[in-house]
This record gives sequence, structure tokens and C-alpha cells, in this order.
Amino acid sequence: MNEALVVFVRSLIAFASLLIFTRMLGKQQLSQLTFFDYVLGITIGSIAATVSTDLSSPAWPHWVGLFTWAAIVAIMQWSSIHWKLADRFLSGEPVVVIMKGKILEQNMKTVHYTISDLLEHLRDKSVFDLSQVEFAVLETSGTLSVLLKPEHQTPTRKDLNITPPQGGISTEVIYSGLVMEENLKRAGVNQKWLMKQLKAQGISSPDQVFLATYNSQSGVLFVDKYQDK
Amino acid sequence: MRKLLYYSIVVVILTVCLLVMNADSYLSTGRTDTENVVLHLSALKTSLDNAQWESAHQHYQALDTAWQIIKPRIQFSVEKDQMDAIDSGLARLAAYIRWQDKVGAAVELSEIESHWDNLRR
Repeated sequence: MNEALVVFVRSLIAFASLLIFTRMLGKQQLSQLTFFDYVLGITIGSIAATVSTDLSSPAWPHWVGLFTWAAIVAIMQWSSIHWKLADRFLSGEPVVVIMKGKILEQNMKTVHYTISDLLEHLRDKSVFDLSQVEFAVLETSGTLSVLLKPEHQTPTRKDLNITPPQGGISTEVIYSGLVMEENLKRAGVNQKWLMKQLKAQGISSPDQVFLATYNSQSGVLFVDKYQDK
Repeated sequence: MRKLLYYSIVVVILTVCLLVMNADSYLSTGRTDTENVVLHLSALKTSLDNAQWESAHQHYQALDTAWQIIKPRIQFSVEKDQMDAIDSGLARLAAYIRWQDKVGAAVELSEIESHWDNLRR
């Protein structure tokens, strides 16, 4: 038995299976995972490692285990989406830990959330004074959502009656010295206009440009040359 | 069209994985007499029962050759310990045949048969 070759082939199987299963299970970010999701991920990863390197037993039973765990997670996700009660049971519910400026100790006790956890999460949200907090909710993912008292909230442009500048998305018009004709057309400009703009910035040819983007709403042309000096 | 291609790739990859992991039953069945482990096991058993040591030695050689052919084929889907157990069993069986120990050889052969059956389960 060529053990290295067997581990190589079994690793390919484990990798391909894990990739397919995780792609099927969706795109939740690590920060959005609940503690249970996190543990599930570790378990599935551990089974995949066994498929890959545990030669003391055939790959098949471990693969069945991997498939079963992935299928259970898929069923859980499906029921959470289609059945509100299941979602509440499987993911839990957000817990209010501060209401109208008062800490709700009983709620904190039920979710094993300590005062140091609360203070740490508040600091993470740039809140260093508990008296500024009106509401704080501990989400199912373990993150803390905070609503400050009105007098401590940052004023918005609307509050200050300031008209925001135009936003919009910029489009690549030159990439690695190549002019993107299609993008120019979509942005409502042409190559002649682009050359004029480049000349105004002291650039004689698109070859000198690494990246140029154009925002048609704000009318800003951003140019980055190969030569940065 | 792209979705169909995506699903086809997934199905092909999973099918190949399943085949590699479950091909042991098919691959361990010898296509010729030279690689037929079951055939040589049974012939060796008959020789041992009749205490025909010359014939037993020949069948042992054939059994060992068949096992060495089958081994690399099934290594991806079976337990390493079972393969090692068959290797050790064959080594002990060779010694029993050499010293013409009928009981010892029968015990080893029976154990090899058991490991062989477990391997293909």
C-alpha cells in the first residue's frame, strides 16, 4: 500500500466534497455565524480531515458522515428560511440587555452574558460611557447592536441640512495601458475626451497608465500611472 | 447553460468520488485466474485438507501473486489495517506450509479468508 498516494487521493475526495457541500450551504460570513453554526463547521471540517488521513478505516463511512452532517445543516437552513418557529428554535432570538438606559441583569443571566462582555462589546462600538446607551441588543451571532441616547447620536446630513455630494459608481476606462472602449461608451464619453483628459494631467499615452476610472455622475477621472513619482 | 454546466461538474466530481470510494468490491474480483484471490484461497484449502504440501506451496505462490495484483487497485477504498492483516497472514501461512503444519496453516487461511471477506464488505 502506497500510503502517501492513498492520502493524496483521499485528500482530493475530501477537498472536492467539502468545497461542494460548503458552496451548497451558502455564503454566511464567519462573523454572522451563531455559536452552533461555528461548532457545526468545526465538526464537518474534522470529519473531512478524517476522510483525508485516517487510513485505519475506509473513506466511505467517513464520507457518509460528512454528507449526513452537511445534509442536516442544509435541512436546518431550509427549515429556518421556511418556518419561523424553527428559525427561532435553531438560531435563538436576540436578547435585549440594555433598555431605556437600564441594564437587564436577568436577560444577561439567561444568555450567560457577563458585564465585562457587555463593556467590551460597547467599547468595540466606540461607546466608553454606559450612560450614553439607550438600547443594546445581543444578536444571535453574538454581536451587540447599540442605540445611543438622542443627545449622543451623531447628527446626519439631513439634521444639518447639508446636500450630499453625488455618489455613483466609477468604471474602469484604462487597465494596464489598455483603453476599455466598451466602458467608455457606457460612461457616455469617448477616446478623444479621454486623451484630452490624460494630456491635461501630463500623460501622453494610455501606455503610461496602470488604472484609470471614471465616475460619470461626479465627473471625476481617477488616474494611476505606472510611474508613481 | 452555465448553471447546467455547473451542476454537471458537481455531479461528475461527486460520482468520481463515490466510485473511487466504493470500487473495492468490483476491483477485487479477479478478471483472470492469475488475479483471482478467491479461486486460489479455495484451491489452497483443498490442498491443505489433503495434506498435499507441494500443491499447497504452488497455490500459496499463486494466491500471493493474485493478492499483490489486487492490492494497489483496492487501496483507495479499503481499510489499511485489513490489508496489513492479510499481508501478515500470508507471511505466517508461508511458514506453516514450509514446515508442513496443517493446523497452523488452516488457522491462518481461515483468518485470511475472514479478512478478505471484511475487506469487500
